[in-house]
Amino acid sequence: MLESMAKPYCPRPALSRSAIDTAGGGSGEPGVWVPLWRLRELALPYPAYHQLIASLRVGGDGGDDPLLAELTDASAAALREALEQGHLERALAAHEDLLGHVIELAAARPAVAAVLWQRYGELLGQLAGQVHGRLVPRNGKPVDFSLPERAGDAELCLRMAGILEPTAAQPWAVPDWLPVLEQQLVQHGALAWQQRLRTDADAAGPCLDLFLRLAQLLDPVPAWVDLAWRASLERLIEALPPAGALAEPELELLVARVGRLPVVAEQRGAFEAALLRARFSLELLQQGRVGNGRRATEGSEGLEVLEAEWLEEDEERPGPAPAAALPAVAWRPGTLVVELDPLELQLLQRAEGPAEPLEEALAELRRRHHDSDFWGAAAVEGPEPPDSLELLRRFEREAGFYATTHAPLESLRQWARPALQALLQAQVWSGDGATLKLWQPWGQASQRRQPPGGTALLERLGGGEVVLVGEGPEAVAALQEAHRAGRLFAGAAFGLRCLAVPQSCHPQRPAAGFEHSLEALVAAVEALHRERPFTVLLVGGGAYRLPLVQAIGSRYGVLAVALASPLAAWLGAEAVAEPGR
Amino acid sequence: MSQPDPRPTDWRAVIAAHPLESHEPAAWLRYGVALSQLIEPSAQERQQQQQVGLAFAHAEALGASKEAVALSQRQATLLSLVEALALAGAEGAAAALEGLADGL
Repeated sequence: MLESMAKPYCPRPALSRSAIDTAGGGSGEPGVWVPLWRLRELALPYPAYHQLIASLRVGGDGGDDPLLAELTDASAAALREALEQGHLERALAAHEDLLGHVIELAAARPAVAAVLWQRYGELLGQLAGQVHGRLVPRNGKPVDFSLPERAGDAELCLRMAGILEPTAAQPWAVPDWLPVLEQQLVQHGALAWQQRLRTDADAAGPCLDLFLRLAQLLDPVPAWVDLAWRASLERLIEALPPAGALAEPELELLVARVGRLPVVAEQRGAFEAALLRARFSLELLQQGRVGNGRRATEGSEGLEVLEAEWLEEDEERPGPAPAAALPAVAWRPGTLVVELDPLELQLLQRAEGPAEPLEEALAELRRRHHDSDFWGAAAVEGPEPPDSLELLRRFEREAGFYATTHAPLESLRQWARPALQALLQAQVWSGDGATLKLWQPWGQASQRRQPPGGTALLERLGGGEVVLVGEGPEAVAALQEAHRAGRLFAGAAFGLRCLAVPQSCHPQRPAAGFEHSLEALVAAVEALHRERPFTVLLVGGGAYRLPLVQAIGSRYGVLAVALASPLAAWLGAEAVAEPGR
Repeated sequence: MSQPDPRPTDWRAVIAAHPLESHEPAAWLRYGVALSQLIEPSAQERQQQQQVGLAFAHAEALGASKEAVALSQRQATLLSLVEALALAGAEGAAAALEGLADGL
């Protein structure tokens, strides 16, 4: 099997645990224990085998389980076999399964995520190569898409474009030749849809999508591409039904498409603002909500007050309003909950970019390690986003990140990889619109939650065991005292243990680099779990928080919460502080 | 309920002219659309969206049908898209969409 994607990291399980649970578990039906190797020996066709293992996994605890590794292996093997046999449809179906499994498995096993993505990338490269070889003429001659044998080109290119575009956001190094294949496939598909547009108005949407993608891939954008996306956009809009009959999904798609238009730099700000307004109006329409959770029966007096405050544009309002239309945080075991932090998000954006500026900034920080003026300077605030040097300076000074001297960029990556994985799978919140905007490029809207209060969590902790990591000594002492006095118990009592993060804010360097301190911290938390299992991990701010919740949440299935706000204050200052103090 | 006026361009003037004591649902719908066109990306953007929601809520409380509210929200979406298209230099598409928004 796949010369296995997951096998090197996953000892073959002797038994399928889910098979035991599913077959026997409480239903009264007789059950059997079947080793996985015996299931493999059945030599079932891939879809049936995949369906079998997936059905056995239902009801499992998710995350890092052997059946997930088995599914990954099976999908990879099926993809490889389909490619060898030249069955593109089967290959595409297997790829779809594989991608989902790799995302899940990489999140469950951060230590092997890089290798998993690399192997996935190899298979994706083969798939793209095969589709390219089949569709794009080697001689570069124009293609007559009206020929019967070209009937499927448009859809296939659209499908491949949909697969290849998101790969840029995945944490693996794309081979140099893959963007070239992508560009040629996108161009081929765009031309195929353009030809179809003459007789089929429904072709305008895919045609626009591919030309817009082509415009992203080509620099500079050729005039014919520019003209083509404009023409297909006009065709698309002309074919829309009257506004009153415009279905919401259609409107949503239009907003998304407009959001992809190329815009000159000087208009970018105004364009983004207009797009934000369109999205907000669409949200109101979709949610059918009026008043953002407040009922219409509220009198106009209250409205007047709010109005007057808002129209005073320079007047600061106390804190952003809760996004009442968002779902509340689900405090479930095995989930990650993350309060977004703008510094981390800005750094992750840089970490996805070219390595050179980061390497230069890290080298500069090392050179200026003893420059107290540099480190003592106030944070640079201004309309322009801070540069990498400033971001990293703040990350070292305020969040406790520090790089090794021999491989500083690798230290940053050791933070960025698990941090990104945590953000991709967590329920997230922020009370700050600018922070949410930083998160938008890779976040899914479905991840967003209403900003929760600490009480909402405290009420659910009764009978549980909580480990709290990362607060300063004074805050920890106050929390422990409040806990002993019962002031933290919003519901029933719970156990509380506290652990400090390594003191590594500049100029302190407790080990060779951040990754070593992180490793020690993870080991310390694991030791706490071995000593007495806990159900909730609460981690305060700093560079350690995201890698820590990612590691512990995935390994132990606990509810792992990473806060950017001071933990004691979030849990309720009045509960933590002694009454009357 | 009367139909909204043709699309105004000076949204601040619409807001300034809106009597908060008005009991006319159409006026509140138009007011909501005007507010929606002045939202700016900022830490207060969600509060601004809330104001829009409140205006539509008030229109509904005064008797506007859900369909009329939805139509105004659709118009607000389209008007913002028209502006975005124009800023992207897609004038032809902007003109086509503007016709759609005005036809409400």
